[in-house]
Amino acid sequence: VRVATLDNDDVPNQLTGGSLKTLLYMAQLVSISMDPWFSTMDDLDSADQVAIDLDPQPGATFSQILDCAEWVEQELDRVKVQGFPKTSGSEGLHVYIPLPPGTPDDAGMLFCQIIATMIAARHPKVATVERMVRRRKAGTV
Amino acid sequence: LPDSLVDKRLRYIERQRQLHQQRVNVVFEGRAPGGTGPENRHGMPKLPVGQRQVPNWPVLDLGDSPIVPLDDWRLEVGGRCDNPFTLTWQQFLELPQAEDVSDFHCVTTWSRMDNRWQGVRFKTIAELAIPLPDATHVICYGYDHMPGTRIPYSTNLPLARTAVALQTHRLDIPTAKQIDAIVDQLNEYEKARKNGRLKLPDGDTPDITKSHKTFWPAIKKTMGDLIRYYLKIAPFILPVINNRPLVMNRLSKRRRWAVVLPASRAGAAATRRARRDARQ
Repeated sequence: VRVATLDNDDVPNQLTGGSLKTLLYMAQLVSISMDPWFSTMDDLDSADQVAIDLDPQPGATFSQILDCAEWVEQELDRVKVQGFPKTSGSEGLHVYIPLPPGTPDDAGMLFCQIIATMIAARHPKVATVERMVRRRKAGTV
Repeated sequence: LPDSLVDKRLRYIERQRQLHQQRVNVVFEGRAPGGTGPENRHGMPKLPVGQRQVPNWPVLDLGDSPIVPLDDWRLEVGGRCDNPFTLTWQQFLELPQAEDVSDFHCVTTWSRMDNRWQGVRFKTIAELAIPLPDATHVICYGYDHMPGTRIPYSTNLPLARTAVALQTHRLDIPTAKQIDAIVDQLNEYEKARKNGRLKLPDGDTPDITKSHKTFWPAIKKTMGDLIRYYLKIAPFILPVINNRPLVMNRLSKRRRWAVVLPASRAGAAATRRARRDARQ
């Protein structure tokens, strides 16, 4: 099982993906959401990709998620960045954005927040940037 | 007029050409090589005689492990060459970097296959140094010493390259056939309601327990079903999570029902049942 020890982290050992054994180990532990970091072991301080998570609230339809994905694309086009949509584990979409090497974590995060905030500002009825699930309105993405 | 560097280099290149003709292109035809496994790139069996294959990277350290700050690191190249030099770490990294996948055979009888190496080819170093015609071997000294002495560790192996990094997170994507073979083993354990070890293609044998246990009563899925699912998607998910730390997020028994989201009236009823089961 692949384990890495990271500096300045609450968790002393961190599982690292890539081997079949690790995958089976996690399945056996029912740790199955497999949320990978946006950085690789080669450079944990920078992000090589970020994702905009389009997470539907109860009442939101998949076509609304697709609308949101299109707005993300439009915003990304405006700054000449390419995004790659991907179905998430359950009902949403993730739009992955590859980053140039050495991009700091925070910069990637901030970029996503700017894109998301612009969409929420343009389409307030459907899109929300509320991080607290509880405070999100029904029927929003 | 003394020889220019260009003349020296031309002569060196010519010698390399000769070397390749007569000494490097060894013909293996007609010989019966020992060892086992498929042929490697030199036409020899992949696992040499007396070696055993290991999945890990054994660290055999007899002495001190010197701490060499990269600022202090130097590669000194000298001896029987026309152009001795010293490189800093930065200068070393500025040389053309190469990647290579090759097997590693240690004299302590372990072999690790298909290692992905990254570094500067020895050829690049040799081109800079321009060895004299009578130079036949290279001796490499490390920063560490034989225990209790000032004798540095050294090697005179015929080096093909100087590796600076071994990419430790190899990605071996299992084939459909390999996955099927593992699924068969899992099915056996589940049918026999027994715990056991799965034999993986790379030689690992992880424990599999309680594969027959019903995990999601509402949809009648077992632990075996879960593991089978992950085996089936392994070829697709492994490249995505390779070399990335993963956030551990264990599903507690209480939270398991939440995985089954009601897509229909029947689903909603199943969820209610599962929720009730989880509470009990």
